Amino acid sequence: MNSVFEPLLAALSGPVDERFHRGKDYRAEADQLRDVFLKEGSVSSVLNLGCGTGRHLELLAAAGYDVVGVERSPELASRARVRLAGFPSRAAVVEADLFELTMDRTFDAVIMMFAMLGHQVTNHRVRSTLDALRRQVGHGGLVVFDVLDAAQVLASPPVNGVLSFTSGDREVLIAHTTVVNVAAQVIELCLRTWELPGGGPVEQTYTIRYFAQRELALVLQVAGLELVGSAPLAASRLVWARRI
Amino acid sequence: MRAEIFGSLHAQWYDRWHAGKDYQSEVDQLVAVFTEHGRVSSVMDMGCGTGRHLEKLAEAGYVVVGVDRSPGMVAQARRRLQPYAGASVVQADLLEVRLGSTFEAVIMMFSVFGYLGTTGELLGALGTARRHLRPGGLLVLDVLDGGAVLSNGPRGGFTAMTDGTQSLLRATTGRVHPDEQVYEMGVHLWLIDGDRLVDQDTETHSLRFFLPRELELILEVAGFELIGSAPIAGGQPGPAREWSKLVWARRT
Repeated sequence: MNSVFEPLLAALSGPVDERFHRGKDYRAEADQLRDVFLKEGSVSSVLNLGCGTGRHLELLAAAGYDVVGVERSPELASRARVRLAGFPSRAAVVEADLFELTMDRTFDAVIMMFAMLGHQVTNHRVRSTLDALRRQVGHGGLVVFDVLDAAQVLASPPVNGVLSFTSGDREVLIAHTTVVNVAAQVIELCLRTWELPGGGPVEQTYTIRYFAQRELALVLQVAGLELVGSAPLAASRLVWARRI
Repeated sequence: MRAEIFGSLHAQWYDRWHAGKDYQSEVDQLVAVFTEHGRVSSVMDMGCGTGRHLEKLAEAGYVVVGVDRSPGMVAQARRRLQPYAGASVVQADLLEVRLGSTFEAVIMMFSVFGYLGTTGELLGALGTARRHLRPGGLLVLDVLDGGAVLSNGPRGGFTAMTDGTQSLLRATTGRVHPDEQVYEMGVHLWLIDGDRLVDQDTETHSLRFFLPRELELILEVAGFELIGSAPIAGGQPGPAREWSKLVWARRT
């Protein structure tokens, strides 16, 4: 079995070096998103909240979708713009915080990947985030996101270790530790990164909530969304819901 | 929802079976919560069973009312509570009962909450609890902790007990259903009298388990604020007990 944590790690350390994305298969994820779009209705426009460097959007734009990405980090947003430059008529990137986002249009589907919902941790923030997603689709519109699945997280042994790769003329080392905090219903992922010679270590800690199945239905229901389906996505779970 | 959780063989042996269950420790824990978080003098027990918790609470001076759906359980609870003037037991469904009075605390013990299963039923039971609580009143319940269930995986077991010439054998099997968020416990009972097998029965108990933030959310939606939780007192063996915790919340 794949570790739950490996694709997550790859996603989180991805911005350090684009070439390093072992364990995160963007094409498979984009294909799975398209399958959901095709199965659940007629989707032609897609908004991606927290688009990062635009890897999912690039694949969706290439498949013919009208896409808009929203990203809070200026650095990641500019990299997403470069990546999407090949699709001037159907791709755009907006630099904004998703809680403050106001769009003058709605989309057929809104997606949020990289287990971003789980980064919100508390019920209050999770609900605000789902509200933000809901605002961007019309009635019957699709909301699609991925989450860490409780059953998998709790059955997985923690993965601690060091990843190493070469970036240009530098060696990059990423030491990572994972703690499952059952009482707080989160995993705590700590990354320490060295870029040698010279750089580091830079330490980052991520706290990510995991969800159980019926819990998700409840969380969505409270936010005015109806759980439609879910399926394994890499080692996490893709969830799709409809605006009621 | 099924009319009866426990088959007749189980019901007949229920109290003998749970004779070793440490009700006193659980009631002491309840009383500690009542004392720390409010001024409680009256308690309603939703799903009171044979009234073991209520008996000890009545003994400690609380005015108690039990509600249970099973006529057999209610009859036993009534007998047990006969000595206590302020105590009564009502036979009714938890989702429908309206006593027309309010209490300072409502309890739901022995996984009664988790037996309900669907979110609609859970919210219905919480609605019943809220209707029977005064503002600021306490709700105390025990639930199967999803963290423990999903980390440990299923567990089976076997026990036997003897009463006179009869022996009851009980084998349990466990299954985890992550999609339904249910721990399914299969129970097979064999009653032996002397050298003859005189009765046997099979039951399936499906208990929903909860993650901590999920519980906080469902309580909030139902008009309660989660204020604390702790491992259930008494150290009873078996997955449904070892993996359970006591949770208390305030009516908002």
